[in-house]
Amino acid sequence: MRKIFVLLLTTLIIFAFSETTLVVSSRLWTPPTEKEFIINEIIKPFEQMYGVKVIFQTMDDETMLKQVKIQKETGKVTTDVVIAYATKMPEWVKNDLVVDLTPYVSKWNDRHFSKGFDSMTVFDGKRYFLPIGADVYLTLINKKALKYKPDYVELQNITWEQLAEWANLVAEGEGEGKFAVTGVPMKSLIYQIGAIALSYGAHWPNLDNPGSVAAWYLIYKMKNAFSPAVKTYDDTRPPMKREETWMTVAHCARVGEVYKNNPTQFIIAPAPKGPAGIGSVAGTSGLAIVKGTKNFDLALKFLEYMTRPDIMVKSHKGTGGFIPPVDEAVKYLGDEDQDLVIKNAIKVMNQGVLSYIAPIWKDWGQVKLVYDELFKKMILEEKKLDIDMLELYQIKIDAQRK
Amino acid sequence: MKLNKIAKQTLFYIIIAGIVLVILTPIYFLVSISLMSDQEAYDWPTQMIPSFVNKFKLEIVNGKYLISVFSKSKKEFSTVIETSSFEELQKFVRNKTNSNIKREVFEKNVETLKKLMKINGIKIKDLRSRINDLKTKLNKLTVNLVKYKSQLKKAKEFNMSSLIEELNQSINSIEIKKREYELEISKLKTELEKIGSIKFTVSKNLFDNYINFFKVTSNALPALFRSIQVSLLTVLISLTIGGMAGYAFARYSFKGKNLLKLSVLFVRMFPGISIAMPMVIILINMGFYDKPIGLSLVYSVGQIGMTIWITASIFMGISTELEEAAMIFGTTRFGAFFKVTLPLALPGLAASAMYAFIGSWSETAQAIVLTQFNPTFPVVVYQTLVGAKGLINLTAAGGVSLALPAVVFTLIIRKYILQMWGGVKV
Repeated sequence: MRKIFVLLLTTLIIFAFSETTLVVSSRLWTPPTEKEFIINEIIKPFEQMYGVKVIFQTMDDETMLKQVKIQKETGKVTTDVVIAYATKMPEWVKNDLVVDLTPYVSKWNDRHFSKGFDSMTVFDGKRYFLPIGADVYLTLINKKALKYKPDYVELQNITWEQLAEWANLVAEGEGEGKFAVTGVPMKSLIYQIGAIALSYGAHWPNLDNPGSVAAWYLIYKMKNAFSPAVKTYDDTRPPMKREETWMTVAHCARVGEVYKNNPTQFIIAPAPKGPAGIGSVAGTSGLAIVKGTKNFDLALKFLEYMTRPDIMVKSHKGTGGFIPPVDEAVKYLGDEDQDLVIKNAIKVMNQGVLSYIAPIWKDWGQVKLVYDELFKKMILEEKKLDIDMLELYQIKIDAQRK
Repeated sequence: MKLNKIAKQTLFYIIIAGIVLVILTPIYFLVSISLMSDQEAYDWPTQMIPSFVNKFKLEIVNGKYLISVFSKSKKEFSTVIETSSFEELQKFVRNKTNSNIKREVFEKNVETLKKLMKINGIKIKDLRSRINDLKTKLNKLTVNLVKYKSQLKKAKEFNMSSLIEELNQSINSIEIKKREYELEISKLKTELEKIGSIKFTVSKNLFDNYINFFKVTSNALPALFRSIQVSLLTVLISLTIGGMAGYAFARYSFKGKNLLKLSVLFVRMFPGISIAMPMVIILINMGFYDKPIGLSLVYSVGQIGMTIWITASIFMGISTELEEAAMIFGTTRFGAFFKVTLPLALPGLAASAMYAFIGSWSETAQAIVLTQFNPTFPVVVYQTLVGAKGLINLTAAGGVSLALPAVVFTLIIRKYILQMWGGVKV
């Protein structure tokens, strides 16, 4: 009897002190400082609210997908919630790894997910992903470049023509180019050129259309404005931080990080305009619940909490320059440096000519390589605009269509 | 003859110095960056030696504190933050420069600055406005100068002599005016600095990046202990199995011995990552997934082959007559092994242990796949590296922290390794 009593007591103690654990794998907020902010400032209040434990881990999209696939194969699903990037979302849905959230989300009346991202997160009318961190492109200028700024250039309304002229003046004056793009293959050059192409009304990423030719003509005009070390840049943050380059148009979160690091040294603005408007390639990361999770109710509560407009603004302000893709989030923004980054990004998102990576490509990496090759060959090496070459490379792009 | 000797010696020392430089430069760079603040690490050109103190300049502009830090590379002050809140300023400066400005130090300097500004208030305002005016004029001149220079280049290409002359005249007059403005601005700035700012020095926390690394990667410390656990387990498994097999290869002759000895190296020829995915399923079924023992087992597969080769050659170098002599004096075969052969083989075993330790300690690719909630330290450093593109000093601190235990382990067993290089002494 005594033994049974001890056993019961032990079991009771174990149950009383054991917490439900929710495992969240994310491709978003990978920088250590951002991850720490999310864990301490966003997730901790959730844990306290529901008396649970959340394990928040960051990894790249591919590893995350592989892990969950193996969990499904072995029948041991240990990941409850994932935050995946838009380009990978079709694969999650196709492999039947995530739950259809439509019936649950339709009951939430206090938030409306930005319609622009439905094409990436909703499949066959079913919402599998809840957009959480959207991205567009922004302009970042080191104040040192201001001495070459032509009088008539108004930074908040700058056009690509004006930026090109300014970048060329900087290059002439300094004896070397100070404009940064990512020159290392398979990085973000396609999106940086995409921002120009879209603002000229191009059918991005196609090359054989007037808008695209106009964009490449502009890049050709800027041929001397790029930094001599541009082929070594896989990210524009380091050269901008060490002031090796003074100008860039890059991903809002990266731009936000450099700006936040020294707001007295940089100026931030929306991506430049073209005849068609402010062009930008947009993307989003989305929250989803893994099929087969044992903690579905808690996972749903987590999704509900993370997509609350106030929580979204708080997490994005604390982590960089991503945009909260919930319409109601704007009213929670103030006038601090972080708000400025988000406001500029929202301006691009709301007023811009946006495009995204449609799930029509066999291998998106190969399409990216076309832009890398063209830039290297046509702009950096041959320094000429070759329309025939653009048309030839279009064949390479077409070959990648599904 | 003497000259030949001198030339040979010089060449020898050049080669030695080159090798030392090749080995030491990246290590020095890594350690040095890990001790630099964010501001220093991204200052260009990067300094060779990290600073121990930071020199600050404080100004009050439009009712806000504007703080700048002295850049050794640029030989001037670089602005850091403009804010009206001390707390924000303190936090930002700490992150950027690794210096913690104490409130009392700050308040004392603000008080002095305010007194200075009270005396020179009107002059400061006037100087700032004159500097701004001159800057606007200078910017216009700079833009025109660059435009003229670019036109001149084109004119020279097309050999338009009359235009060349005209442009040269304009360029000369602008350059003279530009120099005048620059000189004037520089004078005004020096004057403003004297009457409108205050300078003070604060010590720098040299190990702030290490503290930050472990602070912002909350799982770094448990991961460090886990890595030590994994490496020691790998050493234990590979030495036990590999050592025994090495002894068997050295002492016994059997059919297909050489082929078998060669085949143990085959496993090392396959990239570890290729077996990592199937290993996940095997380890999940065994209940070893995401556990140190699971990782050690996978690492041991590759290490055992190497251990066999190292220990077999060591055991072969130890004469069998010594074991036989020990047995004649009354000990058993096991006794002869443990009392005679094993102590003599220690250098080889130490080398194998070091090889296994370092191999498993720094392995990342397989560990990423084979762990989920319990990553090893290299995985944590890798994740920091991937996420922290703009935080090179933090990554360097992680890298040095990763290398340190392996260095310590190697130093502990260095005596045995040096013995092995010097040959087995009986």
